[in-house]
Amino acid sequence: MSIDRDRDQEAALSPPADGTLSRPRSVMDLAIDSAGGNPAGRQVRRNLMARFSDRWDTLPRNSRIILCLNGAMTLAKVVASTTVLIVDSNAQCASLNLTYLKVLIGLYAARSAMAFPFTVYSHLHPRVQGAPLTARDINLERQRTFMEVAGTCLFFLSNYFLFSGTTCREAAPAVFYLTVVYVVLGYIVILIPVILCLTVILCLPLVLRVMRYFNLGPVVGIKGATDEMIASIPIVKYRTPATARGSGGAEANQRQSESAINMSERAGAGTGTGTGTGTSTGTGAGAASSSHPGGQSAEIVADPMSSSSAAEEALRRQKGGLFGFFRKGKKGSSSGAAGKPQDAASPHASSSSAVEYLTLEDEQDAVCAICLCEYEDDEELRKMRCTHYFHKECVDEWLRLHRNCPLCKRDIEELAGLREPSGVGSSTSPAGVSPSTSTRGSAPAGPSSPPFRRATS
Amino acid sequence: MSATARADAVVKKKTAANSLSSSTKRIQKELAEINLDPPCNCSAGPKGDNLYEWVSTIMGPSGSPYAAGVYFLDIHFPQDYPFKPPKIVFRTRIYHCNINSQGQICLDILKDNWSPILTISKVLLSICSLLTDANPHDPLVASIAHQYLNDREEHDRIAKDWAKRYGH
Repeated sequence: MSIDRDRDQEAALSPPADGTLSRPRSVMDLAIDSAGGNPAGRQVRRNLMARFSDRWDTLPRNSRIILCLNGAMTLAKVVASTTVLIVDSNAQCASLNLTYLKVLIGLYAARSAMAFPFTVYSHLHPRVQGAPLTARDINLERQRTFMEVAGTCLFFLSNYFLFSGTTCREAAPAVFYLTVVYVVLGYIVILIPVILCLTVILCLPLVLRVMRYFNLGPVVGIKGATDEMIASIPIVKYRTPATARGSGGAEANQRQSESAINMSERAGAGTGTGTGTGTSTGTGAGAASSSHPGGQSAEIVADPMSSSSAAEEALRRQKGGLFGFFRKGKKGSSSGAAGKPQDAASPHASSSSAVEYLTLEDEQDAVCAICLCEYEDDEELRKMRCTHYFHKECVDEWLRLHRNCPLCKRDIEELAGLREPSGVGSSTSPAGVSPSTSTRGSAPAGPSSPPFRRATS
Repeated sequence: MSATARADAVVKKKTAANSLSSSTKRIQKELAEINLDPPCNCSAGPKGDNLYEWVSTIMGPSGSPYAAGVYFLDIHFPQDYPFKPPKIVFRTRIYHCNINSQGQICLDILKDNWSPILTISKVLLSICSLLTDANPHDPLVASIAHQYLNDREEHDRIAKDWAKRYGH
């Protein structure tokens, strides 16, 4: 019974076939052995359409796409054939070829219109793997074979008529060109495997290159870091010791301890005194810097973390939280950044960041381990969270391939999740050390450790 | 190192240098460094005009069965050096469980564990230490590794023999 219903469903499903030619129904009746005439009343059809839509919903997506394409193709063929036959119905040609071609075109349309319902049927009722063959399956298979044989015959026949002398191109151009289109389509179908093979063989180097370009495939085993992850790593600007000494005064003080400096610069940028604003920030950072007069000991003696955290704590009290300012963004706008209150929870607020300056006294340290070039004034360095420095361009290129620090091999994602490594020593940070240490523990958004997810959110 | 490095640093202008020129610069620096301060038992330099093709010699480390041999290696730098490891192959035959008959070397830093901070002199030193201490647990030639583990004397004898035969 269910087979019969399915069959009727198919019948209901083939309006193009019904519309253009009357044959599909009968062929289908032949193919699917009907146990008896099931009257295809309106109610039955409605039920079948409902069943069809149910089945359609359960179909996998690629199956639906194939069905849609198939339907479109069938419709196009049928429409094209009918149109051409109507247009050229009065065309006269001396040879019989024209008649043959017309017949062929009609057969093409008929064949695809007939095959379509079966395609729909076999997609809607796929054979269960391992299930025993039923009469329905055998009939379907037979039908499919018949369609393929018919298609092949049509293809060869149209080839023959097309290339055998008189083709009546002038008399009936539409018929002629439609046949050409059908023949070309047939050739394409035949050649698809060949084309695929050739594409693979000829374009493999190209494909591999493209894959390599996008860091896909087996060439790069370890995935690279995303741009967001890279961008979330803080940037500092380098100043050679000579420049640092040369400028002197408060400015030099600012550079001695990377983070503390940043703070004092931010706090006192407007006044230019380094201890300027008289706020808790100014005094804290100023005290830290004044313990190194002249900026001679520019190696990071002062615990940068604790002092920066101290200053940060103060700043936060003052401004309501300034976080993530070490991020990539506009450089040299420290006063602007300091003037802009930022919310600790909003990562986007960090786009206008202050520039942090770094000076390394030891000449051996002031070399980018990747390009082996010495750092120069105002060069941008990435300060990895493992406190390793590299040229921004150099390490960025590496991080796009591998997400670890070139020196210590630690995963940058892991490092981002971790707390700041503790500083070298905290002898020179007077005030605010104890509150800052507690702050460091509780606030994951320390000066240089905004986790990546903050960057992406 | 610092003299040449500084000279180069003066020339260098940090613009968006393309990878070719940055790799050239880096290889030039390494060449200067390796000439100034060559690693022990090793030497290396470009084959000809092409900076990306080097040839290197390694003297078999004393205390190893390879002590009698002098080994030639070909070094090829990729265009995106130092972000990709250099390709290094032995041109002299060597009886070693991590180096096959084609001269290919099974060394982690030449593959997955490459890091851009490694220089060619560091890599050559690693190869030297690989000659001293083979890694039979990650072998390229399984038979030699098996022999290394089970019949060390015979392994050393053959290695010495090969060093005398090929390594000159």
